[in-house]
Amino acid sequence: MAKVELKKLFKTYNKKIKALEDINLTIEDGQFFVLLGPSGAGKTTTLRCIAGLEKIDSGDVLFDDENITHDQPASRDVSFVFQQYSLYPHYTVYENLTFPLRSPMRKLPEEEIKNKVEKIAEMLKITNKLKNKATELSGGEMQRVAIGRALVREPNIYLMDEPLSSLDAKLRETLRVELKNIQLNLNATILYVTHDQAEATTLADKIGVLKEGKIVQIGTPEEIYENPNSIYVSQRLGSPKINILPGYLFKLNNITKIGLRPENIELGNGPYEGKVISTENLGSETVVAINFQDNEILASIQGSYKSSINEKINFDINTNKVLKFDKGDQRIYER
Amino acid sequence: MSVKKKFKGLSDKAVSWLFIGPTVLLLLAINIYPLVYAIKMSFTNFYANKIGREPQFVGLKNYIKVLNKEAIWEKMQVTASFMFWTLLLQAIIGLGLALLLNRKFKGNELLTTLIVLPMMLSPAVVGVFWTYLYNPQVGLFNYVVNFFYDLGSFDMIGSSTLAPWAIVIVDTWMWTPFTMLICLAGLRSVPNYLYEAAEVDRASKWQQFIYITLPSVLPFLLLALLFRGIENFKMFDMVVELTSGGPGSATELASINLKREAFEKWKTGYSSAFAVILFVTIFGFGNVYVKVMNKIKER
Repeated sequence: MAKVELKKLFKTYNKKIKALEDINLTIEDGQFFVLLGPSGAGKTTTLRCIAGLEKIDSGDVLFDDENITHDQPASRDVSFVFQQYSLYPHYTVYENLTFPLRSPMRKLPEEEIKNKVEKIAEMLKITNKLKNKATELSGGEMQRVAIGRALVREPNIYLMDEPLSSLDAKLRETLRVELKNIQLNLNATILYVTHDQAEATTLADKIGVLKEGKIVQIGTPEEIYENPNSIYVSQRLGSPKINILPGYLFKLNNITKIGLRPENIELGNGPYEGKVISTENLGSETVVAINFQDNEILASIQGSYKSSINEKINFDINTNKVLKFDKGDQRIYER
Repeated sequence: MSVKKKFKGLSDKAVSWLFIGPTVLLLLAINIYPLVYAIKMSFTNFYANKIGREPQFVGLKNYIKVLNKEAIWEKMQVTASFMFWTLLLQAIIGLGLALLLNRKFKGNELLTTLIVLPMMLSPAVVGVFWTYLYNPQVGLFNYVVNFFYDLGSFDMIGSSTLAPWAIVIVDTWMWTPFTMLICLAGLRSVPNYLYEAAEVDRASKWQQFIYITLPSVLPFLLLALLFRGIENFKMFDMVVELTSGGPGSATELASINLKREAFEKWKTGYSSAFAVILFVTIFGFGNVYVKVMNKIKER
């Protein structure tokens, strides 16, 4: 595994559409780095530039301080899990998994290939599918084979492009845990792309938030959640979503907008009075939507919470946890 | 009677018969009836030029005669070697051209159109103008060959060793574009991400060809060869115009021989038997081929 650095990366498509602008990031050896952002933010393009599948306009890609910007994909030794499964359709699962090991760049004895494939197949629970043709699998199985094909070798970095997005919720959760375990066991360097915040927070050592081809903040999941530098970043994490409200509602008249996480609102008593719009019981928590001076505020309460619609309700906010933003939606830091 | 019932249209079944009816009738009239008639004739000593003479039933005599005639086997051999070489060359060159044209470069589309042109010409016309190209004195073909390698004077059509190659060359020139087009369709259907995955998996270009390109394009290539095989088994017009089966009988394909027996010697019963044998042969081979092809596709 290697340390991967991107320096001042620029990339445009068809000389017009800006895909990446001044991307700078360092993925330490053994780090699980997650790129987070909505579709079109440049997440996939970043991965493809590291893999060498896209030519970059300017900037450098470094593996362990060695500049590989102009190397072919094959000589970079990375593995890539594509969003579409991209298995080789004419071959069995076993053959698909052995394919990367049969590269002329790494001659391995047949015995070793077999052992590696069997180990990976067991880990991903596809041992009974090894003899099936790739096209005879379900979506979840295909994606596990695709992940397996990436994991059979030890490249400089694993690049994963929303590998779990096409799976059902339960399998996604299992594989998420599995993936984290694998990463810890192998001490693997992984760059992982997702727009799913649960994946980002559970998997990442570090998160990079992308917006329109630029990295707007890099930090640990906690930093991104607690200390976002803009409204955009604050909205990436957290479910239910953060409340963005005008400052005057809470007598913060010189502040344009504030961000308030739903768990930082206390219901029952307090100086503010609103009306209940709806309640949503999620089991461990209940999300209450409140109409407060014609603004909708979401509050999340531990356990269940009984109230009826249009009922008057008093609440208070945790002022220490209020995030303040200026006119440009950027964070105002207090000293 | 209710209004609804009065305006009720034709049933689905009636509509479907309305559509396929004309086709079925035409097929029966110009394909099935002559076939059945020919099979019937093949068991008689019918001569189409002897009017008023009642054909007599002769049993399997015609078939035995055909199969025992050494000359027939020679024609079959000529046909088989013509098919073998044309199909082999068209497969290799067609796939090769398709691989080249599948790359992106300037003028790609114009080049494809130019390459496809020979296919659009009439086989008889092709036959005629290649007789000029093969002319030993002024032919362009001979000139070009001599330009690269001086063979002196040679006659592609007049020599019994070269004539079979003359028809192979013309057929390959004319129909390679067909295999190429179908292979190109196959190549275009291979998603690019497979090559990207292979690239990242550090496969060599050769591995990419063997593991991705070839299996994807093979069903298409086999289909093109099936069409070409059936066509070339009954090849007639181009070869008649080019060599008329000569010199001697060096390029006399089974179909040319059949036409001579039927419409020059007027041995109608005998040539019907020959025609039925040819039909069964191509039908049998075709079926076996399609079965094999489907197996490969399923793989």
